[in-house]
Amino acid sequence: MSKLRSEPDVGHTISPYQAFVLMYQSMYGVGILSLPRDVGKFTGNDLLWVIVLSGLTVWGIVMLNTWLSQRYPGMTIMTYAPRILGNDKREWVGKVLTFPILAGLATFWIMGMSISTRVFGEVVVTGVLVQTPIEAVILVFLIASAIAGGSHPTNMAKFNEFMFPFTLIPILLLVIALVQRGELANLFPMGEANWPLILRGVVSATYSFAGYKILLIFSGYYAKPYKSYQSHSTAMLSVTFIYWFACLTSLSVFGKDEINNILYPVWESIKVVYLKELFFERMESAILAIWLIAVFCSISNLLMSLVQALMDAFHLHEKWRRWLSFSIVPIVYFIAMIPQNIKVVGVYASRLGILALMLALSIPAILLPVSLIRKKKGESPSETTAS
Amino acid sequence: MVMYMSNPSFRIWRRKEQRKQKKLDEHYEKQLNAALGDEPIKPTAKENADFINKVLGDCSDLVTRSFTMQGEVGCAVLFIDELVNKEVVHNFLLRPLINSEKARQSADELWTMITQNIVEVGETKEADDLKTAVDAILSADTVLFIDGLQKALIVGTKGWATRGVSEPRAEAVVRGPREGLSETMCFSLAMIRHRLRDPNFRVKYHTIGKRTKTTVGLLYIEGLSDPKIVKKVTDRLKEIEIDGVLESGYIEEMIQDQIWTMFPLVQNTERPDTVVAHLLEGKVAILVEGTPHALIAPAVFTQFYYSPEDYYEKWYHSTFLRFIRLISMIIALLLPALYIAFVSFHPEMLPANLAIAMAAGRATVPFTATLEALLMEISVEILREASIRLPGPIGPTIGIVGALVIGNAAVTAGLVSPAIVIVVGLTTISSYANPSYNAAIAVRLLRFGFIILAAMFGLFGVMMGLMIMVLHLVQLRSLGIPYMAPFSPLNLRDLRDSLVRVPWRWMNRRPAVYRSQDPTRQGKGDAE
Repeated sequence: MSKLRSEPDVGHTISPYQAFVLMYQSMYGVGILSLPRDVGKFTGNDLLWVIVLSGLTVWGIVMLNTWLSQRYPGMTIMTYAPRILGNDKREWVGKVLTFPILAGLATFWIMGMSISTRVFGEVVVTGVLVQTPIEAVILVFLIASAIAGGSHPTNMAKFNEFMFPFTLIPILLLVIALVQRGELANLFPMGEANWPLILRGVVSATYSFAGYKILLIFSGYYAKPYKSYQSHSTAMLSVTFIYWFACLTSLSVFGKDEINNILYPVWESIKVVYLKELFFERMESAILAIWLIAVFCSISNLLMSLVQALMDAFHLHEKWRRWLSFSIVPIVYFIAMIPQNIKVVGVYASRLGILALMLALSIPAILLPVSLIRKKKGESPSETTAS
Repeated sequence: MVMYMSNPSFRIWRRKEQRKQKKLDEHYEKQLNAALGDEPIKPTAKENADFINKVLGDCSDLVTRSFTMQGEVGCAVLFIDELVNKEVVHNFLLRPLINSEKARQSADELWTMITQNIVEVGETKEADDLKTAVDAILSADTVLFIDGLQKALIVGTKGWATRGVSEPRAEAVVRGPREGLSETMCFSLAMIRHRLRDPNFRVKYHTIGKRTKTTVGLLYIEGLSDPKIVKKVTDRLKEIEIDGVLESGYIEEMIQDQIWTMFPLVQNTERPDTVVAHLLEGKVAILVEGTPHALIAPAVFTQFYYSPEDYYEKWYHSTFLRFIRLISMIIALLLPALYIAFVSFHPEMLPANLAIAMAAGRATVPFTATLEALLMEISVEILREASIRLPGPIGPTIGIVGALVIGNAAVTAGLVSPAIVIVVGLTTISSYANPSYNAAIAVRLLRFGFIILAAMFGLFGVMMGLMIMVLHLVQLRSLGIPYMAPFSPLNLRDLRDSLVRVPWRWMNRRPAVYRSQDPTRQGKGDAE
């Protein structure tokens, strides 16, 4: 009887729409809350086009990574990197050479999860659950993420897909905030920043896009790998637009000088929304509860990708998935608790952002030329149905 | 567990247990088979009758009628009292046999005469061994033995007391057919056939239950249902090795993909029109002898919030009602939790006047909001259970006494605040708005989980709980079909019959998620 029940998820893969949602949800997370301040402190009013520039930069990197992964349909980076780097006779060479990639990805994903969790915990504790200790909030959040991270990639795809419409609600409120309190005068004058500052702004903005590296794992499950350029580009476009819009709203509500002094400008600009007709007096708790979806999705996606990467690298059996997920969480928790306060978290985040950008660039920069020169390519996948 | 298994004494114990069980099984098989085995039919009717009486342990309700036909041929008729239709046995079997005219002939000629001319019953069969005869007697048929013939005649006389066709009580509709399926499977089947005159309609019988030998019918439409799904259900039915099946609930649990879930993975219905509607979507149905509840699989989450009426009434009407049901599900699941979250964690979200009014109401209440909500919820659950168990006329009285009298008294006494009475009342009513009982139970149970989460982390906890619930839901599958379809995986075409129900003219295709072999419902199927 048990044989029938535990049917493997063969033939259930990630549809192009789910690929879009996964990319979108992984990028759109906690970074948006402080984005206008992080970038605005360098660029002032030029924030608006710097965000677009930053989005374009990340899009370029994403396209390189997509190019790499769609050459190997049905394989994750942990399974195709050894093929690219090693040879058929001595498989261990490839495996050893892949190890730095795994280590790099694992480090950045764990750090990324820790920082997101900490920032979100701080937001919750300062904004809503004033009397709850941050440890409790973070722990509950991470336990829930561990449950999610221990599920199969295709199930996570479905989860993200289901949650996607709800993450759009805060954007609706941003529109209302813009209409109610936005001032056109706050947006001008532009063009005051110099190039070094703009460059710093672009780099610091890219950190808000972090999370796109999970495509190296997810691509292995795509039903239609040839459509991945399209899904990833759409996701990039959507996230860039939302970031741009969030910056536009906070800038026009507060002005460039004020946003530099606000911890979470985007959240604050939603707080100014006044909707007495909708029964609720103040919306921030509700918004935070909805924002939780976005943060939870991005962190669980990272965790799930990490678990999948480890499973692929060490050829682990499906039953270890949940155990792996739960054993990574304590590490994330301890790293999240290291920084003294939220300011230190910000410093760590910006340093990590630059390193993460370099890693994201170096993976395709190394693997793609080797793969092209050695003319290595995966097999085209058989017809499968999206679940 | 692993440690126990490697322990040698445990292994010896287990081996012993297995041997014991094997012996018991063998004993049962022996009783059933070896006693009868391929026991051939004996030459005289009396011997046969005696033998069957012995096998069935001289049961008092086994009727043995011995008589002499045409003055010289000894006969015996065996049946179980009240299981058979006595009028048929008396008027169309016994009377013609006893009154038949004398005619000297050989044994074979006699057999032909009896089967062709004398017995006036539609369904007759021939039995060559006693096991078949015993099975026939136990399945409400009558067996005729004749001296000198090495075979028996099985006469179809099924006719036990039935409840007849009555209105389905659990699935009431304002508009739509009023007849419900019956405990007798052939009646249920007739009701379904009456609505579905498709020559491709298939019924496959399975006998499940080592001792009850319950007939279970698998219904599907060939060329419409996905053969893979049909095969999966057939395989799972064949795997069942239980001793008795008394209700379709046994089968439901045995065939569902996953046991560890509160949500129903197989739908059950009492309505023949619902069965047909689902068959036409490419699903399969399972009828079980002895219960009016048919099973429908595969099932997706949304269909537990559909009423058959949604398809009989105008589309805007149904769409509105579906939204009402969605809202009522959210209220039934979350309202007490949200009350706790707002009162204990986020009073700033409430409009100032309401917050003050609620605080004033709670001023004399000795309990925390959480305890208050839990107490009230548990009392309501007790009331609900009590009113179901009470005899018909008293049930509603208890509801009124409980809800109005006790609730009012509790508020007056200052034990609970007026707000929680409203919250609990609304929650309870909302959970009744769900057309499906088993989905409502899942929501009822989860509500307590959300109350606890809200008590610990406010809205944040509620959202966490919701996300874990969704995560669980998207992982579920019913016979391999994703449970949250058509939302995830998203299928835009199937969304037409999900939260909304679009006019029939636009539903030209069957839902894609069931992988029906013939996707077209009407027209060319692709007209928008």
